[in-house]
Amino acid sequence: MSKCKLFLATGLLIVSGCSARPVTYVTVREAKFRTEMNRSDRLKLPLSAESRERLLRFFKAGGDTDRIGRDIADPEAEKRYAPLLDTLSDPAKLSLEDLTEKQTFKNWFSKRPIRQVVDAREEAPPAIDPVAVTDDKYWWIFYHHQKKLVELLVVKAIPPQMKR
Amino acid sequence: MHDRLLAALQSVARVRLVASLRDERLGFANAKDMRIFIPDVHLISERRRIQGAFRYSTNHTDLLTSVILALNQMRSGAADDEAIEIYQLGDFLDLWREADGADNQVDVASPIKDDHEDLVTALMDRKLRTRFLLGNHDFDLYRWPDYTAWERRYYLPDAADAAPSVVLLHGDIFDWVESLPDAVQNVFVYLFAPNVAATDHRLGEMINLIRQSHGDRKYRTYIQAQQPSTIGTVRESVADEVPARWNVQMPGSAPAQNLLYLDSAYECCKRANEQYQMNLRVAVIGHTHHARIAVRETDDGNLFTLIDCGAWIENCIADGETSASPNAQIAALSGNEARIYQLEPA
Repeated sequence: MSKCKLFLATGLLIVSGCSARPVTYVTVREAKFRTEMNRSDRLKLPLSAESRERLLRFFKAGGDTDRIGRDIADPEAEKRYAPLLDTLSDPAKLSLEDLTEKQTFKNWFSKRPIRQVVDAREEAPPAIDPVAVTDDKYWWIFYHHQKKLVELLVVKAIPPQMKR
Repeated sequence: MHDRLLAALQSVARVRLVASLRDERLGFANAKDMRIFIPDVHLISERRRIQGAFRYSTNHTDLLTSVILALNQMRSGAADDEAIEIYQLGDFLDLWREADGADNQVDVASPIKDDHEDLVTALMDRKLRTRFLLGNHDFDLYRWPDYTAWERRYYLPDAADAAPSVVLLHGDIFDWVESLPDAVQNVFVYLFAPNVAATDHRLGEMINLIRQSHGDRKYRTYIQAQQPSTIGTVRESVADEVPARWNVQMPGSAPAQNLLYLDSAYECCKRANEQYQMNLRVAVIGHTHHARIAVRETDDGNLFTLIDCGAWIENCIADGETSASPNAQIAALSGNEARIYQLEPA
């Protein structure tokens, strides 16, 4: 085998076979970084005017409930999220397919949905996997029933890499 | 407890007896302890079934859901001194068919579950506490967080003070015992050693073996049974007393296909008994999609029993019948008695 071929083969092995791809999953963070304290106060879909306001307060506080009503961490939140919250208020746009197959939410969630959500508050992993998508600032975890999106939990995302 | 299970099944299905064996040598004597086995289901998503041009699908999913709900009710009505445990014997989800060769795609299992929500929710109900085995078509699940509790094998009785007499396995190892004997040396410990935790290295070896076994097969027309499995004479009237032996397959009288893996299972259990101080004399498996109880006399005059619990996919045919029935089987072990039932919508 020529040196060139050997180099190419080695490179391919490193890229494909040798390095195991890690399984991707999303974790539910501590109470102050999420939109619910308990499962019982999870946001219902479609969003009502009241739950929409609750979400906006959370976003304006930068995803930290300690700051709600005390200071505005993200002044752009309403402008950024209002169209998405409008969509989440429309029952016609809340099928599971809207999130996983159709392009309904592509303006906000461009990356592939993740179906493994680890929530240590639960007794066991879910039978039916929720759908987690991210806009980089938050993880939006959608719970569905009979292929309709019925509940929503939003969790402040941890940046994959800290800025230096 | 067998009578109670039968009543629960008959409340939702037409029930026929495929096989029964009552023998104290089964080594599972407690009549207040029942273990119920649900064999291969092989769920895939509806979209994939169409796209993949699969000519068959899981049988009677609504019936299976009703059966599981009935089992849950039976379990919740058990007395304090009774135990009823449910096992799914592997290949619940068919990742291999869903993804044309399961790979690292994280969400292969989720679309399958989305399409079978009622069944999945029933079987994974926390109250039921179903124990799952990994099969060769869903082995990749071991790498995902939601499935870390799914096992490679269970032993019975599971009381700490007794040497186990029964092992529950998916059964695919017995493919390799015959076709890849050298490779089996490496995974034998992984499957049979009672006190050895599975390492990533061993799991990786398992997945390589499984991939090797799948080869290029796409499973378009069948998985295991190109023709309906022959299940012998099925007893219609299970309301009468169930005989101590019904349709038990033995060397010398049974056709070879009804004895499949009997010797391999015996040899593996014998070796495990020698190496790990166990007392295994029963292997409960799925995998072959061929419901049957097969026995053989052992070298020391005991009985070795293979309980192959069947499947909920592909077909079977009973002696004297001209048309096949969809496999829809469930098996149970309690009080040194094993039974396999064939179910149909009532």
